[in-house]
Parts: sequence; C-alpha cells; structure tokens
Amino acid sequence: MSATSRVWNRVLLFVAGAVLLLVGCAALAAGVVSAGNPPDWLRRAATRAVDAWGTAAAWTWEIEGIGTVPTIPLIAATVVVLLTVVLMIFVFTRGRGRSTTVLEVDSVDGRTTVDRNVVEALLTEPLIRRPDVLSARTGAYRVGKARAVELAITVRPGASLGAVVAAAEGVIAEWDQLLGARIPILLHLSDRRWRDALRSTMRAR
Amino acid sequence: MTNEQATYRRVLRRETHAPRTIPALVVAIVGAVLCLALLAGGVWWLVDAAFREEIARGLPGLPGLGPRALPIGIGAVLVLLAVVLLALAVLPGRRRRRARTTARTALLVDDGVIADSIAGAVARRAGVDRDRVAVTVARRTVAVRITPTSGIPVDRSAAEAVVNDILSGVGFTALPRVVVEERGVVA
Repeated sequence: MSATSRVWNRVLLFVAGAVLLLVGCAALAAGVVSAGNPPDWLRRAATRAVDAWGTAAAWTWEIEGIGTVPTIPLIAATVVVLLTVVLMIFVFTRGRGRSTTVLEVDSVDGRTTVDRNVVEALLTEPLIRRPDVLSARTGAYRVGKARAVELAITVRPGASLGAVVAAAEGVIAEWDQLLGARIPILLHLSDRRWRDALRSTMRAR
Repeated sequence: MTNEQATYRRVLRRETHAPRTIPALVVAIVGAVLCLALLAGGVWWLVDAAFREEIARGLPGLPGLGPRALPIGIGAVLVLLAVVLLALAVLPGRRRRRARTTARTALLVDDGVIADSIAGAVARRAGVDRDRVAVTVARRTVAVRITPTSGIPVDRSAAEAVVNDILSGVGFTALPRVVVEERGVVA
C-alpha cells in the first residue's frame, strides 16, 4: 500500500511500448527493404519516409552569435534532456506515501501526534498471541488527504478465517476506544511469506 | 458516501490490482540511462572530430550478421518487448484477492489464505490427510478435489457446506465445485 500514482506507471509503460512498437516496425521495414524486392506499399512508405527525413535534415535555425544550427539535432537534444529529467522525477517519486504518524490533532495548547509504533504495539500484540496467527504487522500510509493503517495478518494454514477477522475487529474496537478517533483501517489476511515458514516452527504450541 | 468509505473504495481498488511499479521503474531507469548515454555521446560528438568521422563512416558491422539480419532481428525484439509493455499497461492485472468493506474496516483476503483454510476444514470434515485435498479459488468458483481413503466414502455435500461456511465466515460468496476422485488411496 502506498500513495504512488499507478496511472502514471501505466502511462509510462504504454508510451514506452508505443515508441518501441514504432521503432521496431521501422527496423523490420528497413530490414525488408534492404533485403530487396519489398511490396509496393512498403516501398512507397519507405520512399516517403526517406524524403521526409531529407527535408527535415535540411532545416536549419539561425541563432544570433552562433550562426546556422541544424534543427533536428537541436530538437533531439532538447527532447533527450527533458526526457531524462522526467524519468528521473518518475524514479524518485515511486513508493511514497508511508507515514510515521497515524493521527495528528491540533489544539490551542499545541499538536498531539500518534506514532505508528503505538498502533503496531496495540494492534499486533494481542493478535500474535493467538495460536491461529503466524504473524501480524502494521503500516501507516497517506491515502489521498487521509491517513490509513494497514493491519496485515498471516494466519496459520487451516485456521478459521471468521474467528481471526472477529478477533482483529475486536482489537480494532479497543484501539478506537483508546484513540477516541476513527482512522481508516485495511485488514489484510495475507498469504505466508518465506520468512513466516521459519517463524512458524518457533511459534508451535 | 463518507470520507472513510471513499478511502476504503480507493484502497481496495488499488490493493486488488497490480501496481505495475516494478516494470515501470525498470523502463524509467533503462530509459534514463539510455538518455544520459545519448547526451554523453552527443557531447563527445561535439568536441571530438575523430569520433565524428567514425560515426560518419558508420559503425562496423557485426561478424556473421548480414545487412538485413541486423535490423530484422532488432525490430523483432523491439516489437516483442513493445507487446509486453503494452499488455502490462492495458491489462487490468487483477490480484488473486477478495475485498469488501465491513462496518469498521476494509477487508482484504488473499485467495491463497481462503484456499488453505478450505483445504484444512474439508480435510478434517472428510477425514482425509490435508495433502489429499486440492483447492483452487477462482473469481466466482471454488474447486475442491478430494482423494478419499479406499473403502471410506466422502460426503460431497458436506464438503460443499464446509466451503460455503468458510466463505460466509469472511463475508464472501463463490460457487463450490467439489470433485471426489473415483479411485481412492490406501491410507
């Protein structure tokens, strides 16, 4: 769970896929044309592309103090610089949204914050004592403008899921009472991870 | 709709679909590295006349590859890669999870957890080893295959009732399809 925009992930994949498709088809067409005797429609398209490239390559730009500069390399360099910046921003903005606090209350006397370690201790401790629970962990995240808590529970194989959910909701009700406020909670009964296999032998009763 | 319900809807929609963060990150990093290499090459081209001449002469051909094989090979690989990226961008990428909201929480349960729970409960009810019950949880159905102990009948309807009990215990529904193997094994 994080606040990373997933739409932008898909937009990037789509744009990259479309660009690769265009370049790949162009390379295939170049290979077929160079092999000799290409179909007429491909020969016409290749001729048009070569003519367009020749026209574009002849474009120049007069820059005062520098002189005449070919336009295509200039545009290409600008696009590459912009693309580099955009991609760097993209890389460094993934995986955000984790929060160290689950609640902030402003009052006339100051601000009270509830740390995520508090929710970790209060929600997971009663649950990991249960024999049908292998492990439990929490995480605090920003979801839009709100904060939410994920309570992920790994249950023992064959455990009664209804009983685990009821126990978790009981713990959450106590947490609500203690906090005096209600924050959104995602209760996740998750598959075992590789390290839970190690933990299970330690918790055998 | 309250703010909490709106948050739950958003969280559950996100958690039941693949984020595509890793492939997007790989594409972005590879793209950024290629862009930086192009920029470095461009600067080199500007300052080094020998490099410019080398580029103008054309890159030396790779041994064993004719002038046609290289663009066709590169083109085929790029088209294949493009199809994979477009599929990742367009397909919904549903995760094998079930989700609903309760009066207090947003509940998310992995299908594997449900399958484990059903397998354990069916094995206890049918009186067979856990290893002899195979469960596949799909979006609308739960398929259970039981290999009985030779000579000991297994009640199919009881197994179906177990599946329904487990699912209703966490507030989900699916159609149980229980198959009891005709040939049992010796316990």
